[in-house]
Amino acid sequence: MSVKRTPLLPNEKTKDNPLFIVLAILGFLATLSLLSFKASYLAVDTWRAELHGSASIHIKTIAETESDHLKRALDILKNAPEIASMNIMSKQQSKALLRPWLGDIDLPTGFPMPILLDVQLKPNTVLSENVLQQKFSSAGIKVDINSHNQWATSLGAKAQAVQVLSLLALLLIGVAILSACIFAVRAGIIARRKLMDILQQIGAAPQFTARIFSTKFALTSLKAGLVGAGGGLILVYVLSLVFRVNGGTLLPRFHIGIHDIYLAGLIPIFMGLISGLTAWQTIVKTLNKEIYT
Amino acid sequence: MTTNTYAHKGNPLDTQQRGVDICFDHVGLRYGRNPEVFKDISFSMAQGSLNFVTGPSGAGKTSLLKMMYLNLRPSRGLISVFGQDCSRLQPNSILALKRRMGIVLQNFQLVDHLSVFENVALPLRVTGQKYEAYAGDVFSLLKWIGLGERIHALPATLSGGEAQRAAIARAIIAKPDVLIADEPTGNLDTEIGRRLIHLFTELHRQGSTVIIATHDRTLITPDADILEVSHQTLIHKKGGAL
Repeated sequence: MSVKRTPLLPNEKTKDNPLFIVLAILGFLATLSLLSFKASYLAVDTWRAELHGSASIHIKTIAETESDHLKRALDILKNAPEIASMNIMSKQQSKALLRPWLGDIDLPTGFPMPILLDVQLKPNTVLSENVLQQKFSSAGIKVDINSHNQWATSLGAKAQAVQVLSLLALLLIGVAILSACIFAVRAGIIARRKLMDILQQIGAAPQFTARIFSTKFALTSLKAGLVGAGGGLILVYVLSLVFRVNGGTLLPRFHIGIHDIYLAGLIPIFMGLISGLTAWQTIVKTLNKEIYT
Repeated sequence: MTTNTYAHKGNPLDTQQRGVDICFDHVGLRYGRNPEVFKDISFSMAQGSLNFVTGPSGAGKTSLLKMMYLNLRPSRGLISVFGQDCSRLQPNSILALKRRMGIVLQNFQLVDHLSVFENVALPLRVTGQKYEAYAGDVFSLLKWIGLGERIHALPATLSGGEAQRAAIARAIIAKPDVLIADEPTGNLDTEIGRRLIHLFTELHRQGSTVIIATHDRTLITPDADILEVSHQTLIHKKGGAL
C-alpha cells in the first residue's frame, strides 16, 4: 500500500490569498515607483541635454547686407567643429518672436528684421562662444551668441535636485515596501504557528521548519511580485499610449522597452529573496529561542 | 483495540541498551514575578519505569511535564535527562535529547491536512528519512495500535479515541526512550480511557519508560510509581504504593 505525500505547508486559500494580494499590490507599487523614477530621471537628463545642446545666434544686419551676411555667417558656422546642424528661422517665426513687444502691427518696409539661427551642437560638446564671436567680428558681422549657459547652469542645478529628490523618494518607497513585505511574511508565519509548534514538538530542527516556510513564502512572493510587476507594466504601457501625443520634453516620457521589462522583472526576484530570508531568519530565531526557555 | 506485540523491524521499545533517567535536583519553578509553582523538588525516574503524575487541576502537572520534556527551563535547580545536565546544553543538544522523548499532549496536536499515516510518520519525515525506509514501520504500528483501517483518514474525521491513538503512535514511531503523555484520557469516555491506559502499560511492559499525567486516580495502575503534585510540592511514591 502506498500513501500520497502531502506537502507539509500546503496551499490554503484563507491564509494564502490575503498574503498574495498584499504582496501583489506591493509588487505593483514597486514597479510603478521604479519606472516612474527611471522616466523622470531620463526626462531630466533629456531636458538638460537639450539645454546644453543648442544655441541661438542673432545676426544684426540691415536689409542691404542681409543675404551677404547670412551667407558668410553660415560659412563660419559650417566650419565650427562643435556644430552639428543649424536652422534659419523664417521671417514669420522671427516676427512671432517680436510680437510680445510690438504687438500685432504691420511692420514698415525695410524694418531690420533680425536673422535668427537655431544651432544644434554635437553631443557632449560646448560651444566656444569667444572663438566664434571673434570669427564673426573678423568677417565684419555683428552677432549675439546665446549658448544658454547661464540658463543651463541654473536649471542644471535644479534638474540635479529633482533627480536627487526622485531617488530619495524611490528609496523611501523601497524601504516602505520592504518593511511591508517583511510584515506581511511575519503575519503569514503567525497564521501557521500551530504547524511550527507541532514540528518543534516532534523534534524537527529549526532549520527544517525554516526551509519549508521560507521556500513557501519565497515562491508566494515571487508569484505575487510577478503579478504586481505585470500589472505595473501594463499600466505604464497604457499611460504611454495615452500620453504619446503630448510627449513634451518637460514631462517624463512613459514607454515600455525591453530594459523596463528586465527592470520590473527584478522586483519579484527581490521580493522572493526578501520573503524567503525573512521567513528563514524569523523562524530560526524564534524556534531556537523556544527550544528550551 | 488490539494488544498484539508491536513487532516491526527491531523492537522500538527494547530498552535493554538504554540509560533512561530523568533527574530533578532541588528544582524550583516560577512564572515571571508570580509565586513559585514548585519549590525545591527532587526526584529521579529509573529507566523502564511506569510513572503517573497526579494531582488536582491547576496543581502544576503540565508544568512538571514540560520541564521533563525540556520545553520549560526551571527557575532554579538542575534537571538531568539521560545523564546530561540540561542547564549547560546548547539548543542543538537539547533538540537531540528531545528527539529521544515521545510526547502526547492533551489536545493531540495532529496536523489537520495530513492523513493519520502522514501524521504518524512525521517525526521520521522531519529527520530526513525516506518514505520507503519508514512506510513499513508506520503501517505495522498503525495496525498494532488499532488504526490499520484509518490510514488515509484526516484528523477531523477521527473520534477522540482514534485521534489520541494516532497521537500516541506518532509519539512512539521514532522509538523514543521515554514516552510522556499529558492527560491522555482527559477528553475521552471512561472505557476508551481505560483502553488507552492499557496501551501505555503494554508499552511499558515492552520496556519503555512511560510518564502519564492524569487527575483521574482510578486510572493509576497498582505497580506504577506516583508523583503526587500538590501546592508547590511533590511526593514521590514508589510502585505498589496504592
